[in-house]
Amino acid sequence: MREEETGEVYFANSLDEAISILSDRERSLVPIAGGTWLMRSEKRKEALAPGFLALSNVSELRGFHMESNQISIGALTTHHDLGVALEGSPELFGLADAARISATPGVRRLATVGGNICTDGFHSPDIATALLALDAQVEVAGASGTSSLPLSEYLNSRKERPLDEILVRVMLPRMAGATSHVRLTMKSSGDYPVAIVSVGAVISSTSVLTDLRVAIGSVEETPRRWTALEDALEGQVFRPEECKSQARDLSVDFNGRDAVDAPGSYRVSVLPHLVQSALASIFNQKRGG
Amino acid sequence: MAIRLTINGEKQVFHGDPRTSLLEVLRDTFRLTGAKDVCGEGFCGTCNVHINGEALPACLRPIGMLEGAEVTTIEGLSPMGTFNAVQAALEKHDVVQCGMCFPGLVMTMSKFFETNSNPSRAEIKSAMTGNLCRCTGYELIVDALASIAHERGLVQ
Repeated sequence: MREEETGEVYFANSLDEAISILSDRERSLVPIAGGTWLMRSEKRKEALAPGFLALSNVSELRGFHMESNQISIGALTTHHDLGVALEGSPELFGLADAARISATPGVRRLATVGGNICTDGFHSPDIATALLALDAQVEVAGASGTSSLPLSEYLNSRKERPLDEILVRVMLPRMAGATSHVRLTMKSSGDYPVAIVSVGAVISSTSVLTDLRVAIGSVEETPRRWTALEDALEGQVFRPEECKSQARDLSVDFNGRDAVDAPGSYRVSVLPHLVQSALASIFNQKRGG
Repeated sequence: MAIRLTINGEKQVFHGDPRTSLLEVLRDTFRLTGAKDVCGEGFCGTCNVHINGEALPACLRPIGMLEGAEVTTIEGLSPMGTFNAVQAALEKHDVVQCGMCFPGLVMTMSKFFETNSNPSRAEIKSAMTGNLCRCTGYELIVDALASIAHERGLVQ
């Protein structure tokens, strides 16, 4: 117990109140949702934030809505609840899989979609990587109002974003085709992945790949799309070995991060195989359907 | 700061830093040491308890977010001197080894069996992925848990 420290946990009851509190620099409160990252601060040899702003009562951050042209996912949606909500949505198989296999069952019941996106220091986010392959947009709210921007742009600007900004929800366009999510872990389960490949594509009756989206996570510090590979494979007939070979040739795109679980070079070296597996998965889904 | 919550059916008040983890509060303040302090990252499952009806890692829950919560630990899972089905199966099959993982495992799997009374071995293993056993006694644990449905007459 921290006997000499006097921390604070304050509950915001609306989005406006949360933004107002975060704007008060003297309070120095850090927004907390699932808490699965913040509560591990000391494990990372970081100081625990002096105070938490609990978002769990902010109803504007909740909700899952599947409409004909768009899916809206509230930032407080947990991984577990997202996996349940996506049951029976074959075009979102990749995102559903990411939600169902990340971390551990207990963590999945706590960790939120918003936390997975906002946590700049977490380099292996399954949900954020899967959302990149779905052309996700995020809606943010702050003292200057509400706006939306591509998830990729948000991820790359996290260090510079206003401190009073809150991620409200994620929006996905309804897309044709299939998706898949493949990750390599050192153990078969209950582990953070060394590398993540999340893909989406339309495969024609003649096995031609179009509208290909390939997102890579855990290899570099921030997940991103592999646009060079997307361009190379777009319009090509799906041939597993050729896809793997193209991925191998283009993997010089990546500067893998070194960490205790794996060196950067290893993360990059496994990408071609993971890409092949991910594409084979959506090809098999199509055949199965 | 005073946090009021119910632990094992008794109303309790915690006075202290609201950022303190529930695990620390259980062990250091209320002397409920069944939940173990091992990885501190939600990965080993040894500190799993029931919070408002969900099996969750106590190490990741700041006590300040648990005002009014209902918490059940291994000490309060069954009336003193009795076992629930999971505890009884583990005891009957004699699979307890060092015991470090068992309180968390029992909490996880007790909640799991509430929603899936006749699971396959694969479903049992999947539900156990967040509970590590350093004695590696997994197969015997799964055997014991798989026996629950048989003994309830759910499997012919």
